[in-house]
Amino acid sequence: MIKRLDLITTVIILMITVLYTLEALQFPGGAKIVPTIFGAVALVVVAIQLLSSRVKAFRTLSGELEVDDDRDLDVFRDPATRRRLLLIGGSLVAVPLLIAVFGLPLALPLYIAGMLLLQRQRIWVVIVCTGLISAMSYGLLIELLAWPWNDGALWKLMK
Amino acid sequence: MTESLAYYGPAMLEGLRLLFDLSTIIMLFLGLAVGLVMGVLPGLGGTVTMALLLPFTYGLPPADALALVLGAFSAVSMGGSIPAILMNAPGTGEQAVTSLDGYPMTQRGEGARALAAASAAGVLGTLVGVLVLTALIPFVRLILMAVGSAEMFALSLLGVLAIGVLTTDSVTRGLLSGLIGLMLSTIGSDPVTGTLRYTGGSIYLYDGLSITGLTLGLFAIAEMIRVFVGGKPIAAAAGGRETNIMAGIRDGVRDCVRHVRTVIYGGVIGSVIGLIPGMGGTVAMFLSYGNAKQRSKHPERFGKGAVEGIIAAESANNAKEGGGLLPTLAFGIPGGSTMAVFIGVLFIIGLPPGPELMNENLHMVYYMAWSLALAGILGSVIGLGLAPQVSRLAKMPAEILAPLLIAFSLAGAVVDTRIVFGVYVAIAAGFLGYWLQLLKYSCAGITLGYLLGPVVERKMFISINAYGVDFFTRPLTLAILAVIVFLALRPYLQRRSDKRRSRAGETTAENGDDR
Repeated sequence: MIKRLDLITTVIILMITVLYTLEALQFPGGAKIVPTIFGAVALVVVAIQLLSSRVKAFRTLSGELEVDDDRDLDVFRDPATRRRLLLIGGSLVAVPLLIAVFGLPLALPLYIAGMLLLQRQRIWVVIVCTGLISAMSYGLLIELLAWPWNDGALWKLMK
Repeated sequence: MTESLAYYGPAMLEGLRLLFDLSTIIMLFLGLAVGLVMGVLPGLGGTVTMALLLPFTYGLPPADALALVLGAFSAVSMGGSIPAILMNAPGTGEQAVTSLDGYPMTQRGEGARALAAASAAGVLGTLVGVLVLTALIPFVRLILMAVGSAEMFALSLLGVLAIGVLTTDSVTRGLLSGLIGLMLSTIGSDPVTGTLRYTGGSIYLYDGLSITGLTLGLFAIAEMIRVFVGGKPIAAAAGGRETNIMAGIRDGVRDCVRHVRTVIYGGVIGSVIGLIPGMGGTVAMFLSYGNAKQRSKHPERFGKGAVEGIIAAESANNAKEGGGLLPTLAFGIPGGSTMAVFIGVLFIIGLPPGPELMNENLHMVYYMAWSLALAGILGSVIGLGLAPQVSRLAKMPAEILAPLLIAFSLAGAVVDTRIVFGVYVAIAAGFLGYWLQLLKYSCAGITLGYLLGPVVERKMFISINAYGVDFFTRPLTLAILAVIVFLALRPYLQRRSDKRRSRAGETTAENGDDR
């Protein structure tokens, strides 16, 4: 499975590089030179990478002949690991939503409280960790950066 | 000699004067505390620590910012040796070498002695590393005199591609990592003409991606996802009971004095390895460990609790930091991932690596050397005193540690730009970093590519204006570009030479059979 995902990733990199290089050609004058060079070189390298997964001769060029496929396969095999990956991934995707609704200074303590409660941690652990992040959020964001505590959509609606 | 002293003396003294400022000392202690805690937490090393501290260097005077990060950088390796010795749980991967002999000593009830030996060897190793660094500064400045914009262009390119190639097993993945970073660096306004590129009309991208968001994401958040997903128990319980802690500490320091030759050998090996990009602490520690074992009268004791093993490993590990600073500061070629993030710090505080830093801000280079030395001494003393208390942190479960550090990173991601977009960059970079690390790409390569991309572009334009389009045919530039080509073709050339060697071996064997 990891091999297929690796191949998909390489194809995605190739597609992004093609789009990047085509876009670079549209820039005026000197602004196009460096991105075009970066894009062209990346296209050659990603093509070798792609071919090395299919053609053995290219593996000598990519240096992947001796590479053992010891990558972290547990991520996809073990249900518990998969659950943890979904939990952390999902929670990170939820952060922008929390920020949009409650604002950044409140979103961070809510994130940590939610994560710990979802993992059924002891209540004193949840309180201590949430308190710690609330203090950091207050000190760094509200006091130091003068970030408004109520910049979320919820507070704007309540006004 | 007198001329050199007249030139370098004031810079050395100015560096020393900066070190004894009250705010610098406070920052150094703060860095030491953070470094010790982060070093103790298994799985996190100098790179994650430096990435987490990156946002806090904004707005600080350069001396304070450097004291903070170098203090932490120095204390991480001391912090890492505590769980390695007391719990057989190396804080940083490389400290597995320390636990080879450290943990058996703890099981024998000699944990304090092992820790004291590691601390003392660490201090002496750091001092050797700093000595090598300061001794080589004049030579490096001589080399830099021959370096113009064309050479700096080639050196920056070499730095990006070398760190990519040397931190992964695959050349193409390493090169691609560096190239992804270089491509990301072109987002925003062009440093030469000011044209907007790849912004998609978003004003948030006019200045490019946030450096802190990208670095925190690629290193801290990606690492926390890995730690959380791994979810393994972090540290086992400690071994034997300590009989007399003070006597143990005294014995450990005495051991270090008794094996001073091991310390010096370890220090020199560490410094030299530190100078070579991509070699890392593990190589330095194993080489020094092997050297000590070879010279020992009792090599059979190694791996079973030999104090020389700890001394050799720790002196080399600490000395490599001093050596590693030199190519980073002079040429922008980092020794490893931690130094790649350190280059980010240098850019943020307005001291980008290269000839300018080595010529116009020479006192800051000496200041960094002195800071590293002082941090090494203080870190070892504090680490030794707080070892039993700090080591308890190693038992913190990943389920609590990861969300805590992620929340901390997300708050730090907005410090430079002061817009919430930095958080989104950090989250996206976290996913990207985790995924690419799983597929053996190099996050250090991406970061360095992003940092040095504008330097590459600016130097290329200056070179074209100064020497014309054939600027890369200048001898030194050509030599550096040849090194890049060699790095890219290394596996192919190695394979060919292996084939030739095996063919020659077969022929010799056949000839032998004929006879």
